[in-house]
Amino acid sequence: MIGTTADTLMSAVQADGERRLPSVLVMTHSHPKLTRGGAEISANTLFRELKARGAKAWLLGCSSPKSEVRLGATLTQPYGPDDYVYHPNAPFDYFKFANPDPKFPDELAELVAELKPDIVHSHHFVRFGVEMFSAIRRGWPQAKIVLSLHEYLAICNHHGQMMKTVTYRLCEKESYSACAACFPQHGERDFFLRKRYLQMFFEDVDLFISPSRFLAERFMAWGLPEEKLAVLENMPPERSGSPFAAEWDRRAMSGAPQAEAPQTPPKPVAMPMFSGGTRFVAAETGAGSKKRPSAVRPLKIGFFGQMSPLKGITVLMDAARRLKAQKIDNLVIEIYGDYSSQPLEFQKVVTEALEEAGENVVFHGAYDNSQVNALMQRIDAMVIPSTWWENSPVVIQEAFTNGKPVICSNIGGMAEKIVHGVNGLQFEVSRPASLAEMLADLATKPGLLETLAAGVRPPPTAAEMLNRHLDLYDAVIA
Amino acid sequence: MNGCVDIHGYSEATGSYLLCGWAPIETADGLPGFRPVSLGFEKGTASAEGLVAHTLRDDLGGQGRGVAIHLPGSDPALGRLLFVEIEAGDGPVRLDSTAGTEHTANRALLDRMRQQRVAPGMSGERLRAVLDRSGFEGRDTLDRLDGQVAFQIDEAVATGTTGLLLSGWMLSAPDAVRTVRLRSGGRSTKLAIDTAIRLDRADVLAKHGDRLRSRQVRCGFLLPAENCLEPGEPCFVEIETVHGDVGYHPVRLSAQHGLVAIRAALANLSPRYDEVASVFDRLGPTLTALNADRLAGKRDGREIRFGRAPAEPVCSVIVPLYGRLDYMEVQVALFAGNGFGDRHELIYVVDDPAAAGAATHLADTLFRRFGVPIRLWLQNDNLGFAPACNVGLSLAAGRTVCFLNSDVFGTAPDWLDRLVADLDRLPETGIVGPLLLFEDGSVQHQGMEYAPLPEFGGWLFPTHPGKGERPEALSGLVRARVITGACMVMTRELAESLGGFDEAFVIGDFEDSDLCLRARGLGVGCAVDHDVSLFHLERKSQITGAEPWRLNVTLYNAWLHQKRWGRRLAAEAGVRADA
Repeated sequence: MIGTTADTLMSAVQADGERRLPSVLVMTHSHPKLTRGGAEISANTLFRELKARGAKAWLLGCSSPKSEVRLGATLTQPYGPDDYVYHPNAPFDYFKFANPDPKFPDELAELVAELKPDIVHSHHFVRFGVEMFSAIRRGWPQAKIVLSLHEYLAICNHHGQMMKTVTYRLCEKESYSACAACFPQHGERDFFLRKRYLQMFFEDVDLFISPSRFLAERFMAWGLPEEKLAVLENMPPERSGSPFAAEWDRRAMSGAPQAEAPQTPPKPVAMPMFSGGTRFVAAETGAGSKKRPSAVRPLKIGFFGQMSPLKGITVLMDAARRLKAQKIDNLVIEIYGDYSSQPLEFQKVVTEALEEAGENVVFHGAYDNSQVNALMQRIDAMVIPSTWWENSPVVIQEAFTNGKPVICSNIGGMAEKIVHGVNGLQFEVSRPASLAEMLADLATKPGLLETLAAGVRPPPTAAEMLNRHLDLYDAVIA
Repeated sequence: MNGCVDIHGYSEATGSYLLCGWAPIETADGLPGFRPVSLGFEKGTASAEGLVAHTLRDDLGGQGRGVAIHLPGSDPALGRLLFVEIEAGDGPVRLDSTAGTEHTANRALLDRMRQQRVAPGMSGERLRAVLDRSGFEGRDTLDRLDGQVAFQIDEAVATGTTGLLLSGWMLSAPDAVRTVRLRSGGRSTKLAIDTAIRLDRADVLAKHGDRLRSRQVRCGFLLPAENCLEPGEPCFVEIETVHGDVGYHPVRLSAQHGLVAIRAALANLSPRYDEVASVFDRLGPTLTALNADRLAGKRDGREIRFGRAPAEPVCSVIVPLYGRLDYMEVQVALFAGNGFGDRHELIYVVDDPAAAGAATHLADTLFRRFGVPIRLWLQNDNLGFAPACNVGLSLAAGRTVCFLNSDVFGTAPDWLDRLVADLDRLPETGIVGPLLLFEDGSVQHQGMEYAPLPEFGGWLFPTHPGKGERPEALSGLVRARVITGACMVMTRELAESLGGFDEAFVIGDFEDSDLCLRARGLGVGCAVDHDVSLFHLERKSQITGAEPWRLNVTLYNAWLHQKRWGRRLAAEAGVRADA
């Protein structure tokens, strides 16, 4: 199924009334009420959309350390009748993703036997353990098992990043010897067993959903069968509170052109982390990207996300320095993000870089995700300078939702989503000079920004994405 | 005409039999000095080199001369003394024990001996020195030897009730030492340090070499001594110089026993080539005794059953567990499904008391997670591969048994059923095993052959032909000379008639070859089914890069195997026996 995105799958029947909706147990390694990672959000949106469509759906997520434990109870329902929380009873094995909890397999088997779902769609295998698939198979053999892949975790023990541990160089392919070289505390035999263990339980999975073709290909190279892989973006994050989302949704449904961005000036939600410099956020008077008169105000390039080495913040800062040296002054890099959770050493690096940065860098600090659309409306293009492969960064979808082109590293899931010269630009990963060149092009070539913005296609709406999920479910049930 | 014994007895202080009496005048002149002396008792004779001196006697009227004798050795305890024979230049001189001969011992004996007037001369001086000895008082008195000898016992491991395996070192000025004896109660045992297994001890030479004018780097020794311990009595080494000076060195029995003791004994040994055979010919019997002591009576443990194994299993899979437990998780997960638990039983023998708790917990979760019933045997002592397998065999209820290493992992779910079917189809194949592969798919085992290793005495070691290479395009059952114990299937009847693996092999090698060779005696052979492949994540070879003690354990096993099978194998077609 790889090479067949859900778009090209026969999207049989769009009208709800004519479609038999499968019952779905949605699982996620952390309950969305407890944490707000990408997988949890996707799972929760899927659950909510299924319910909204009138399908039978249940949610099962793992507890957090703060969750109330009911002595002796493995599964609880603190949030409602279709909503389950699993409380792991044993420390999880994060090497081969084994769950030593002796109670969970039977509890899970009993739950699926009781619910009798057509589909069990899990958004992860951590904390549940990969043995979950055989427990589901045992408890309710009729269920089809779908697993969404969120990063390269099954392939790579280095937080699923496929980056070398010491050098942080990109890793093209796992092997027992290469993995053992990254982790001297484990031998090749350990990695052999790790892979065997995972693949043994993955055999019970009927369909793997990858949000990018790149990630799917990596998993195929690792050994997942081609016919069990499908490429489909995650369910989009909630757009409630965004004044633009409804517009997009309307346009997407009707094919109407993009609406003008509203003129109300949004404010950053967080103050900069230091106040000694002069780079406070200027009072905003600008409008949407299409209104930018290049002679009047500089081009605004937005960075949204964690200011970590993997997200390429130092590549970006270096590129900004180069642009300043080249006296390209009609471009400002606006950073929305945080580095307070980074290692101290790296915090120092970022602080120093920000101190030394010229006026073409504005640091806004952390932002609340509910504000992301409003903030993005204030910039002209997004930059994603990640130094690792990425999977399918949600910030791309957010940028496209807001009609903004993206300048990204030329690898992995990013490069797949951004077509150079169409809806954004690609630069050579980890090379500040290459990024500076692309940004300089954008700032100096008349009409380039407008061309790229025009090339941005809106991402599918939640309703459309649900249809594609239902198509895949139908295909796997058939 | 014979002389006569007046007083005799054993003195623990001098570690010798002491006598005085007289010899006829015509034979007496040639007696003083170190002479071979035999004591004839009712129940036997004790012979050794004794020190003979003249004593001054006024009561013999010129018919004879007084004689005093110091005869180092153990208390003979052979009944009444009948006669003494001294080997002199002109033939033996005999002194008889008579009704008037007095028998006494220790302090009283020494007092009587000291009352004798010893005649002048070197022999007399030496004897006086012997009688003046204070005896061992629990302290190290080697400093009395004028700095002529440096000596130490590092480890003294008891073997049986009266044997010892001594390791230590001795460095001495050239020709300074006359004898070294191990003393305990009435036992006195000469230690032949010169001909012991010698070890390089550069550290000792660096410390004492210059002072003692010695360049002997091989001053360490490993020395098995039998029947040298008097149970309950202190033990010490007595070193006598050529000048008759004596120093004592207390020997404390090692608190170590079992495998720890074997390990300590083998720690500093690294024989190669021609040394190998001579070292193990001397050491082997002691190691055999240590190992037998170690295992004697040690089969205690308890069984915990998780789930209900079938009452009449087709096959009992017996897996000894030592060290890493996490392999068990993968192994059991691979057994899950396909009705394994309905047909076969899975017996884990935890040969690692420290891991019992963790193994129990793991077995519990594995049964509950994967539904495979597990019989878990928790051994009270760590015994090693062969005994652990044999304990598993004693528990087994299967019509057949499969001995399986914990680092062997199945591929196809029916691999065990297929190996059992091979046995049923071809009963003359007594023992059948799979093709074993490394994690990269290359061959780990497809049957074993033998090859001599010149650096290890030229003994025959089992080899794995094709190891590390891609598997050949073979299929079906292929005869093998012998197969590995990492995965072997046979009827329980056969396993029991063979008595399982021979526990004389320590820890775990060669016992599989030995078992296969013994099975031939019952008229059955071995085969590998090339259609059944499993992964074997074999640990790195013990023969290279291992700690010396572990390599030496392997060499001990090889020695045992060679003694038992070397000649027969060398005569077989296809075995290249010359190194």
